Amino acid sequence: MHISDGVFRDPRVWVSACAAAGGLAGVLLARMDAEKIPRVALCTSFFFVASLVHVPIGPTSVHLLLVGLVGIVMGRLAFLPILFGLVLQALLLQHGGLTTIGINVLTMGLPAYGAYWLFGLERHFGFKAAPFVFGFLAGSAAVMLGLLLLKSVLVFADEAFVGVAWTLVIAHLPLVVVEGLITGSAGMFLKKVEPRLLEARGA
Amino acid sequence: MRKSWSVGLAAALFLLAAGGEAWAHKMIAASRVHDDGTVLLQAFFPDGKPARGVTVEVHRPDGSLLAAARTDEEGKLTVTPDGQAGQWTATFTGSMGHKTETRFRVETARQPTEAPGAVGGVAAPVARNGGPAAEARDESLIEKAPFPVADVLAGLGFVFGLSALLMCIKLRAQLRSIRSPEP
Repeated sequence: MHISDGVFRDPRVWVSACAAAGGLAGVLLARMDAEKIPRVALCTSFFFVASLVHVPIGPTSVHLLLVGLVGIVMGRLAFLPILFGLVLQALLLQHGGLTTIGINVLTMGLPAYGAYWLFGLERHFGFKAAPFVFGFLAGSAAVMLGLLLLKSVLVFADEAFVGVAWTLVIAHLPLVVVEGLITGSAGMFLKKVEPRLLEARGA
Repeated sequence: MRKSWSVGLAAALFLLAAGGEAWAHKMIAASRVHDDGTVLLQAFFPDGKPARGVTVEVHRPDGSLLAAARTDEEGKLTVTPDGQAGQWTATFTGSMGHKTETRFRVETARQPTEAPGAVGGVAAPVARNGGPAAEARDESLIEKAPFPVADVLAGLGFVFGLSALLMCIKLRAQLRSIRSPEP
Protein backbone atom coordinates (compact mmCIF):
# COMPACT_ATOMS: atom_id res chain seq x y z
CA MET A 1 0.00 0.00 0.00
CA HIS A 2 2.79 2.35 -0.90
CA ILE A 3 2.62 4.98 -3.59
CA SER A 4 5.65 4.87 -5.86
CA ASP A 5 7.74 7.65 -7.32
CA GLY A 6 6.32 9.25 -10.42
CA VAL A 7 2.65 8.92 -9.50
CA PHE A 8 2.41 12.62 -8.63
CA ARG A 9 3.34 14.75 -11.59
CA ASP A 10 2.95 18.04 -9.74
CA PRO A 11 5.97 18.40 -7.42
CA ARG A 12 4.04 20.81 -5.18
CA VAL A 13 1.96 17.88 -3.93
CA TRP A 14 4.75 15.66 -2.70
CA VAL A 15 7.00 18.53 -1.59
CA SER A 16 4.28 19.94 0.66
CA ALA A 17 3.45 16.46 2.00
CA CYS A 18 7.13 15.80 2.76
CA ALA A 19 7.37 19.17 4.50
CA ALA A 20 4.28 18.43 6.59
CA ALA A 21 5.49 14.96 7.56
CA GLY A 22 9.02 16.22 8.28
CA GLY A 23 7.75 19.10 10.41
CA LEU A 24 5.48 16.81 12.39
CA ALA A 25 8.29 14.32 12.92
CA GLY A 26 10.61 17.12 14.08
CA VAL A 27 8.09 18.33 16.65
CA LEU A 28 7.46 14.79 17.93
CA LEU A 29 11.20 14.03 18.14
CA ALA A 30 11.88 17.23 20.06
CA ARG A 31 9.10 16.53 22.57
CA MET A 32 9.73 12.80 22.94
CA ASP A 33 11.11 11.49 26.24
CA ALA A 34 14.27 9.38 26.08
CA GLU A 35 12.46 6.42 27.61
CA LYS A 36 10.12 6.26 24.58
CA ILE A 37 12.96 5.78 22.10
CA PRO A 38 13.31 1.97 22.52
CA ARG A 39 9.58 1.60 21.88
CA VAL A 40 9.86 3.71 18.73
CA ALA A 41 12.76 1.49 17.61
CA LEU A 42 10.77 -1.69 18.22
CA CYS A 43 7.72 -0.41 16.37
CA THR A 44 9.91 0.81 13.50
CA SER A 45 11.46 -2.65 13.30
CA PHE A 46 8.25 -4.61 13.02
CA PHE A 47 6.64 -2.04 10.73
CA PHE A 48 9.71 -2.18 8.45
CA VAL A 49 9.77 -5.98 8.34
CA ALA A 50 5.98 -6.41 8.13
CA SER A 51 5.92 -5.25 4.51
CA LEU A 52 7.81 -8.43 3.58
CA VAL A 53 5.07 -10.69 4.92
CA HIS A 54 2.58 -11.32 2.16
CA VAL A 55 -0.90 -12.68 2.60
CA PRO A 56 -1.92 -14.67 -0.50
CA ILE A 57 -5.45 -13.71 -1.55
CA GLY A 58 -6.71 -15.43 -4.68
CA PRO A 59 -4.46 -14.73 -7.64
CA THR A 60 -2.73 -11.85 -5.91
CA SER A 61 -1.22 -11.12 -2.51
CA VAL A 62 -1.07 -8.15 -0.21
CA HIS A 63 1.47 -7.40 2.44
CA LEU A 64 0.91 -6.68 6.12
CA LEU A 65 0.84 -3.07 7.28
CA LEU A 66 0.45 -3.30 11.08
CA VAL A 67 -0.52 0.36 11.16
CA GLY A 68 -3.17 -0.36 13.78
CA LEU A 69 -0.67 -2.16 15.99
CA VAL A 70 1.77 0.73 15.70
CA GLY A 71 -1.06 3.07 16.65
CA ILE A 72 -2.15 1.23 19.80
CA VAL A 73 1.43 0.81 21.00
CA MET A 74 2.79 4.25 20.12
CA GLY A 75 -0.20 6.54 20.50
CA ARG A 76 0.61 10.08 19.45
CA LEU A 77 4.15 9.08 18.49
CA ALA A 78 2.88 6.66 15.81
CA PHE A 79 4.08 8.96 13.03
CA LEU A 80 7.72 8.35 13.95
CA PRO A 81 8.00 4.56 13.43
CA ILE A 82 5.90 4.87 10.28
CA LEU A 83 8.17 7.59 8.91
CA PHE A 84 11.40 5.74 9.77
CA GLY A 85 10.00 2.44 8.51
CA LEU A 86 8.91 3.92 5.20
CA VAL A 87 12.28 5.61 4.67
CA LEU A 88 14.07 2.31 5.26
CA GLN A 89 11.65 0.42 3.02
CA ALA A 90 12.21 2.93 0.21
CA LEU A 91 16.00 2.98 0.57
CA LEU A 92 16.70 -0.70 1.24
CA LEU A 93 13.78 -2.62 -0.26
CA GLN A 94 12.64 -0.22 -2.99
CA HIS A 95 9.10 -0.29 -1.59
CA GLY A 96 7.25 2.91 -2.37
CA GLY A 97 9.35 5.91 -3.29
CA LEU A 98 11.44 8.64 -1.75
CA THR A 99 9.44 11.55 -3.13
CA THR A 100 6.16 10.01 -1.95
CA ILE A 101 7.32 9.32 1.61
CA GLY A 102 5.47 12.36 2.94
CA ILE A 103 2.19 11.25 1.36
CA ASN A 104 2.67 7.64 2.46
CA VAL A 105 3.45 8.77 6.01
CA LEU A 106 0.29 10.86 6.16
CA THR A 107 -1.95 8.16 4.66
CA MET A 108 -0.65 5.60 7.18
CA GLY A 109 0.00 7.86 10.17
CA LEU A 110 -3.51 9.28 10.39
CA PRO A 111 -5.09 5.78 10.50
CA ALA A 112 -2.61 4.88 13.24
CA TYR A 113 -3.92 7.81 15.28
CA GLY A 114 -7.44 6.58 14.60
CA ALA A 115 -6.51 3.11 15.87
CA TYR A 116 -4.98 4.63 18.99
CA TRP A 117 -8.15 6.55 19.73
CA LEU A 118 -10.40 3.58 19.00
CA PHE A 119 -8.40 1.19 21.18
CA GLY A 120 -8.54 3.74 23.98
CA LEU A 121 -12.29 3.13 24.24
CA GLU A 122 -11.46 -0.34 25.55
CA ARG A 123 -10.91 1.16 29.00
CA HIS A 124 -14.60 1.92 29.32
CA PHE A 125 -15.61 -1.71 28.86
CA GLY A 126 -14.88 -4.27 31.50
CA PHE A 127 -15.52 -7.56 29.72
CA LYS A 128 -12.66 -10.00 29.34
CA ALA A 129 -12.33 -9.94 25.56
CA ALA A 130 -12.47 -6.14 25.32
CA PRO A 131 -8.76 -5.77 24.34
CA PHE A 132 -9.24 -8.24 21.50
CA VAL A 133 -12.51 -6.72 20.31
CA PHE A 134 -11.22 -3.17 20.33
CA GLY A 135 -7.86 -4.27 18.96
CA PHE A 136 -9.69 -5.96 16.10
CA LEU A 137 -11.75 -2.83 15.47
CA ALA A 138 -8.65 -0.64 15.68
CA GLY A 139 -6.61 -2.79 13.26
CA SER A 140 -9.45 -3.14 10.77
CA ALA A 141 -10.44 0.50 10.92
CA ALA A 142 -6.83 1.59 10.44
CA VAL A 143 -6.53 -0.41 7.20
CA MET A 144 -9.91 0.80 5.95
CA LEU A 145 -9.11 4.42 6.71
CA GLY A 146 -5.68 4.03 5.12
CA LEU A 147 -7.28 2.57 1.99
CA LEU A 148 -9.78 5.38 1.74
CA LEU A 149 -7.07 7.99 2.18
CA LEU A 150 -4.87 6.26 -0.39
CA LYS A 151 -7.74 6.02 -2.85
CA SER A 152 -8.52 9.72 -2.40
CA VAL A 153 -4.89 10.66 -2.89
CA LEU A 154 -4.53 8.53 -6.03
CA VAL A 155 -7.68 9.93 -7.57
CA PHE A 156 -6.53 13.43 -6.64
CA ALA A 157 -3.20 12.76 -8.35
CA ASP A 158 -4.73 11.60 -11.59
CA GLU A 159 -8.28 10.71 -12.59
CA ALA A 160 -6.84 7.80 -14.53
CA PHE A 161 -6.26 6.14 -11.16
CA VAL A 162 -9.99 5.86 -10.41
CA GLY A 163 -10.15 2.26 -11.62
CA VAL A 164 -6.80 1.43 -10.08
CA ALA A 165 -7.86 2.88 -6.74
CA TRP A 166 -10.98 0.73 -6.57
CA THR A 167 -8.95 -2.36 -7.48
CA LEU A 168 -6.60 -1.47 -4.66
CA VAL A 169 -9.43 -1.10 -2.16
CA ILE A 170 -11.06 -4.40 -3.16
CA ALA A 171 -7.74 -6.28 -3.15
CA HIS A 172 -7.03 -5.13 0.39
CA LEU A 173 -10.42 -5.94 1.91
CA PRO A 174 -9.28 -9.38 3.20
CA LEU A 175 -6.33 -7.62 4.76
CA VAL A 176 -8.80 -5.61 6.84
CA VAL A 177 -9.82 -8.85 8.58
CA VAL A 178 -6.26 -10.21 8.82
CA GLU A 179 -4.93 -6.98 10.34
CA GLY A 180 -7.87 -6.87 12.71
CA LEU A 181 -7.11 -10.38 13.96
CA ILE A 182 -3.39 -9.61 14.36
CA THR A 183 -4.00 -6.32 16.14
CA GLY A 184 -6.71 -7.84 18.34
CA SER A 185 -4.50 -10.79 19.30
CA ALA A 186 -1.54 -8.51 19.94
CA GLY A 187 -3.71 -6.17 22.00
CA MET A 188 -5.00 -9.08 24.10
CA PHE A 189 -1.49 -10.52 24.50
CA LEU A 190 0.14 -7.24 25.45
CA LYS A 191 -2.67 -6.42 27.86
CA LYS A 192 -1.86 -9.62 29.73
CA VAL A 193 1.93 -9.73 29.39
CA GLU A 194 3.03 -6.11 29.27
CA PRO A 195 0.14 -3.67 29.71
CA ARG A 196 2.54 -0.76 30.08
CA LEU A 197 3.22 -1.03 26.36
CA LEU A 198 -0.42 -0.20 25.67
CA GLU A 199 -1.08 2.24 28.43
CA ALA A 200 1.87 4.49 27.69
CA ARG A 201 0.45 7.04 25.29
CA GLY A 202 3.43 8.80 23.84
CA ALA A 203 4.85 12.23 24.51
CA MET B 1 11.41 -2.70 30.03
CA ARG B 2 13.39 -5.93 29.48
CA LYS B 3 10.13 -7.78 28.88
CA SER B 4 9.11 -5.11 26.36
CA TRP B 5 12.29 -5.62 24.42
CA SER B 6 11.87 -9.39 24.35
CA VAL B 7 8.25 -9.13 23.18
CA GLY B 8 9.20 -6.73 20.41
CA LEU B 9 12.21 -8.71 19.29
CA ALA B 10 10.19 -11.93 19.21
CA ALA B 11 7.58 -10.22 17.03
CA ALA B 12 10.24 -8.82 14.68
CA LEU B 13 11.96 -12.22 14.34
CA PHE B 14 8.61 -13.91 13.67
CA LEU B 15 7.84 -11.44 10.91
CA LEU B 16 11.31 -11.86 9.47
CA ALA B 17 10.91 -15.64 9.38
CA ALA B 18 7.41 -15.44 7.92
CA GLY B 19 8.53 -13.07 5.20
CA GLY B 20 11.09 -15.43 3.76
CA GLU B 21 8.54 -17.41 1.79
CA ALA B 22 6.74 -14.58 0.17
CA TRP B 23 9.03 -11.80 -0.93
CA ALA B 24 7.10 -10.24 -3.76
CA HIS B 25 6.53 -6.55 -3.61
CA LYS B 26 8.62 -4.52 -6.00
CA MET B 27 7.50 -4.73 -9.61
CA ILE B 28 10.15 -5.34 -12.25
CA ALA B 29 9.76 -4.66 -15.96
CA ALA B 30 11.76 -6.17 -18.83
CA SER B 31 11.62 -6.06 -22.61
CA ARG B 32 12.95 -8.00 -25.59
CA VAL B 33 12.99 -6.83 -29.21
CA HIS B 34 12.30 -9.71 -31.62
CA ASP B 35 13.64 -10.11 -35.14
CA ASP B 36 10.16 -9.63 -36.63
CA GLY B 37 10.00 -6.13 -35.14
CA THR B 38 7.64 -6.96 -32.27
CA VAL B 39 8.63 -6.17 -28.71
CA LEU B 40 7.75 -8.39 -25.76
CA LEU B 41 7.13 -6.42 -22.55
CA GLN B 42 6.93 -8.30 -19.26
CA ALA B 43 6.21 -7.28 -15.67
CA PHE B 44 6.88 -9.55 -12.74
CA PHE B 45 7.63 -9.52 -9.02
CA PRO B 46 10.96 -10.46 -7.45
CA ASP B 47 9.77 -14.03 -6.81
CA GLY B 48 9.10 -14.43 -10.55
CA LYS B 49 5.30 -14.27 -10.33
CA PRO B 50 3.71 -12.33 -13.21
CA ALA B 51 2.26 -8.87 -12.60
CA ARG B 52 -1.19 -9.32 -14.13
CA GLY B 53 -3.45 -6.54 -15.35
CA VAL B 54 -0.77 -3.89 -15.14
CA THR B 55 -1.40 -0.83 -17.31
CA VAL B 56 1.39 -0.31 -19.83
CA GLU B 57 1.93 2.90 -21.76
CA VAL B 58 4.37 2.68 -24.66
CA HIS B 59 5.94 5.96 -25.71
CA ARG B 60 7.84 6.70 -28.91
CA PRO B 61 11.33 8.25 -28.80
CA ASP B 62 9.75 11.71 -29.27
CA GLY B 63 7.57 11.15 -26.18
CA SER B 64 4.25 10.63 -27.96
CA LEU B 65 2.03 7.74 -26.91
CA LEU B 66 1.93 4.71 -29.17
CA ALA B 67 -0.22 2.35 -27.13
CA ALA B 68 -1.86 1.85 -23.75
CA ALA B 69 -2.91 -1.65 -22.77
CA ARG B 70 -2.82 -4.12 -19.90
CA THR B 71 -0.61 -7.12 -19.32
CA ASP B 72 -2.21 -10.56 -19.61
CA GLU B 73 -2.33 -13.46 -17.14
CA GLU B 74 1.38 -14.06 -17.68
CA GLY B 75 2.23 -10.42 -17.09
CA LYS B 76 3.22 -9.76 -20.69
CA LEU B 77 2.23 -7.57 -23.57
CA THR B 78 3.43 -7.52 -27.15
CA VAL B 79 3.74 -4.28 -29.09
CA THR B 80 4.80 -3.44 -32.62
CA PRO B 81 6.65 -0.12 -32.73
CA ASP B 82 5.81 2.04 -35.73
CA GLY B 83 7.43 4.86 -37.52
CA GLN B 84 10.34 5.85 -35.35
CA ALA B 85 13.73 4.37 -34.65
CA GLY B 86 15.41 5.16 -31.34
CA GLN B 87 14.88 4.53 -27.65
CA TRP B 88 11.29 3.70 -26.68
CA THR B 89 9.88 3.73 -23.18
CA ALA B 90 7.26 1.42 -21.66
CA THR B 91 5.80 2.60 -18.35
CA PHE B 92 4.08 0.01 -16.13
CA THR B 93 1.55 1.19 -13.53
CA GLY B 94 0.32 -1.49 -11.15
CA SER B 95 -2.87 -1.59 -9.11
CA MET B 96 -1.04 -1.02 -5.80
CA GLY B 97 0.50 2.30 -6.80
CA HIS B 98 3.61 0.59 -8.17
CA LYS B 99 5.22 2.25 -11.12
CA THR B 100 8.25 1.16 -13.12
CA GLU B 101 9.52 1.43 -16.65
CA THR B 102 11.74 -0.29 -19.15
CA ARG B 103 13.42 1.07 -22.25
CA PHE B 104 14.13 -0.68 -25.51
CA ARG B 105 15.87 0.36 -28.68
CA VAL B 106 14.38 0.09 -32.15
CA GLU B 107 16.99 0.32 -34.89
CA THR B 108 14.78 0.46 -37.99
CA ALA B 109 11.28 1.80 -38.43
CA ARG B 110 8.54 -0.71 -39.34
CA GLN B 111 4.90 -0.41 -40.19
CA PRO B 112 2.44 -1.83 -37.64
CA THR B 113 0.78 -5.15 -38.43
CA GLU B 114 -2.65 -6.42 -37.48
CA ALA B 115 -2.52 -8.70 -34.48
CA PRO B 116 -5.06 -11.19 -33.09
CA GLY B 117 -6.32 -10.39 -29.62
CA ALA B 118 -5.64 -6.70 -30.08
CA VAL B 119 -6.86 -4.33 -27.41
CA GLY B 120 -8.91 -1.21 -28.01
CA GLY B 121 -8.08 2.49 -28.10
CA VAL B 122 -5.05 3.90 -29.82
CA ALA B 123 -3.19 0.67 -29.16
CA ALA B 124 -5.47 -1.52 -31.26
CA PRO B 125 -3.23 -2.23 -34.25
CA VAL B 126 0.06 -2.34 -32.40
CA ALA B 127 -0.42 -3.95 -29.00
CA ARG B 128 -1.88 -7.30 -28.02
CA ASN B 129 -2.14 -9.22 -24.79
CA GLY B 130 -3.18 -12.83 -24.48
CA GLY B 131 -5.34 -14.62 -27.06
CA PRO B 132 -4.82 -18.09 -28.49
CA ALA B 133 -2.01 -16.99 -30.75
CA ALA B 134 -0.12 -15.20 -28.00
CA GLU B 135 3.45 -16.22 -27.40
CA ALA B 136 4.63 -17.74 -24.14
CA ARG B 137 6.32 -15.77 -21.41
CA ASP B 138 10.04 -15.34 -21.96
CA GLU B 139 11.51 -17.00 -18.89
CA SER B 140 14.99 -15.72 -19.71
CA LEU B 141 13.78 -12.20 -18.90
CA ILE B 142 12.71 -13.21 -15.39
CA GLU B 143 15.33 -12.40 -12.82
CA LYS B 144 14.24 -13.71 -9.44
CA ALA B 145 15.57 -11.63 -6.61
CA PRO B 146 16.59 -13.44 -3.42
CA PHE B 147 15.01 -12.49 -0.12
CA PRO B 148 16.87 -9.35 0.99
CA VAL B 149 18.22 -10.72 4.27
CA ALA B 150 21.20 -8.36 4.26
CA ASP B 151 18.99 -5.32 3.59
CA VAL B 152 16.56 -6.30 6.34
CA LEU B 153 19.35 -6.84 8.85
CA ALA B 154 20.95 -3.57 7.77
CA GLY B 155 17.63 -1.81 8.32
CA LEU B 156 17.16 -3.30 11.77
CA GLY B 157 20.74 -2.44 12.67
CA PHE B 158 20.20 1.10 11.48
CA VAL B 159 17.03 1.42 13.55
CA PHE B 160 18.62 0.26 16.78
CA GLY B 161 21.83 2.20 16.15
CA LEU B 162 19.90 5.39 15.51
CA SER B 163 17.74 4.82 18.57
CA ALA B 164 20.86 4.40 20.71
CA LEU B 165 22.25 7.64 19.30
CA LEU B 166 19.00 9.47 19.99
CA MET B 167 18.93 8.12 23.53
CA CYS B 168 22.47 9.37 24.10
CA ILE B 169 21.55 12.84 22.87
CA LYS B 170 18.35 12.99 24.92
CA LEU B 171 19.96 11.65 28.10
CA ARG B 172 22.91 13.98 27.73
CA ALA B 173 20.55 16.93 27.56
CA GLN B 174 18.72 15.66 30.64
CA LEU B 175 21.97 15.17 32.57
CA ARG B 176 23.08 18.69 31.69
CA SER B 177 19.85 20.14 32.99
CA ILE B 178 20.29 18.18 36.24
CA ARG B 179 23.90 19.34 36.69
CA SER B 180 23.15 22.98 36.11
CA PRO B 181 19.85 23.76 37.79
CA GLU B 182 18.41 27.18 37.27
CA PRO B 183 19.32 29.68 40.04
